[in-house]
Amino acid sequence: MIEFAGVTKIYAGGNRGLREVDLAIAPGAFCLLCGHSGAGKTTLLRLIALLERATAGHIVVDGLNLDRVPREEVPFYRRRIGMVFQDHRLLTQRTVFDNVALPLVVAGVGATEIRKRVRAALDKVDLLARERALPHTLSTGEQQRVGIARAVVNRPAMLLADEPTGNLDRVHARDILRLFDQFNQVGVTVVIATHDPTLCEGREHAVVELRDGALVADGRPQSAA
Amino acid sequence: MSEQGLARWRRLGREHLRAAREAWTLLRGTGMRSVLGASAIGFVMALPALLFVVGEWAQVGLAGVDMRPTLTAFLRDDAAADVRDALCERLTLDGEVARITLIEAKSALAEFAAAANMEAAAFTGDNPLPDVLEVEVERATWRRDRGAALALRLQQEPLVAAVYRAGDWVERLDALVAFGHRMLWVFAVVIGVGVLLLVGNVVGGLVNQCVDEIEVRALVGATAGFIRRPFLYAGAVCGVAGAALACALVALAMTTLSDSAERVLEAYGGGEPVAPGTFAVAVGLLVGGLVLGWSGAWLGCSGNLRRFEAHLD
Repeated sequence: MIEFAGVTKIYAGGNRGLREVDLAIAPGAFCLLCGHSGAGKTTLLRLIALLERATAGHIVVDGLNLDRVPREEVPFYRRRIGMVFQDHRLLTQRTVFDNVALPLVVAGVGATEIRKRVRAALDKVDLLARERALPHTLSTGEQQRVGIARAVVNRPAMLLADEPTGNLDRVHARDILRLFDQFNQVGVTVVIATHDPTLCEGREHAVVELRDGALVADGRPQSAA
Repeated sequence: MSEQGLARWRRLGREHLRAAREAWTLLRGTGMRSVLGASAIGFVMALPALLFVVGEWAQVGLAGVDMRPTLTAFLRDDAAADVRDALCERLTLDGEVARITLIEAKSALAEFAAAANMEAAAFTGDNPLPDVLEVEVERATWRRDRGAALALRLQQEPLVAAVYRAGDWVERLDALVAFGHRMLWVFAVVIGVGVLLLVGNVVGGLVNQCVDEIEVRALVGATAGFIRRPFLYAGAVCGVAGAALACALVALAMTTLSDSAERVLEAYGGGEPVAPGTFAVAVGLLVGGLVLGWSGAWLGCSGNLRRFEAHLD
């Protein structure tokens, strides 16, 4: 469960990222965060991932009050989360395999287990054949799938995606969303931020709309349970 | 050891192996910059090491040179032998006196004649030279004021006509040696700080080149230690490589200088310049390089990594 209670985020310089947001996302839910650029979607994701701290209010994730997570515990908290970015954030000098393996290497997983899990994740996103390729040799859609494989390889309880389809055409965007659906169906909580209103339309998932840092619509996400 | 303990050790070993491999990749990636950094460290470290070695040379080489400060007491002509011997005995009990040598007038004359290349018998009439007491003072306890006090005590002896003090130069030499030692430490500290900053700068450059990688690692849950470790290894490698170069430079300098040092020591009546503690110097340099490299990398890393997590403060 992700709970926001009166959360405000003000950046240095006085820019307001979020304004008194109250929100609850049930475990196993699929939630789309919609809104224009600067609406506060990315801020909301960064707060969940503990890449930022809230200026006011409280965020509780699976019973853990994020205000109280000490700095040295933050990396261990982040290992429970998979993150996908619009710009993929792939390491260009490393192969697809090495990029996907990174969260496992960080977590101290053994080489045999890494090999097994990375290949499984790459198989899931249909890129097993490209495991030795360097990211720049892949198409944008393929790079995003590598990003997704990296996000899920450590079997996180939660997937956060910031504009994962921002650089993709409609067909590839649908493919990527389908992938997220598949992970959600096995119990992973998925939160996707998007500025594309058509992506939000007609979907059966919960839709949260943000405008100027404030919550303007909250179609309560249903639990997968 | 329990299975859990073994697994922990295995994980630790794996992590350090990974860090070492990544450090190597980092250094290889920066190429000439790392080589220049390590070379600069080597040249900077070689200077105090060389001073230390030269100091050791001087200390070992001059060990055989008699540098005990001496007071020369010229006795009165009318000094009776038993009174003279009693004075010698009394002086021997003085805590500051190391040795007393009596040079009798007739042997002094013979020595003088030999030096002047003539027969002692050629001197007719009375022997003009007095009996002399050569009083050697313990060098460890020698101070100019105490030497003066001893000279005064000797001067007050009724048997003594005059006292000549020849020990002040030893004090001056000791003061110079102490100054040299102190200067060496000052050098070592200043150069140590210089090496820290140098390594910090080299590793800071490496960190800046890896900003993307560090960010991604932090995003997937890498701890500060995990991120920092390859850079620490790289810093340590730079430090040790620099120290190895410093060893080579010192060895080269020792080979070049040994002939001149031998001549200098011969002139002072000392022994041959032994290469003292060459192994100890090498180990000292390598360990120093390792510690300075590691610490410098820590400095260079911490400052640069802090900005990634600054928003969490």
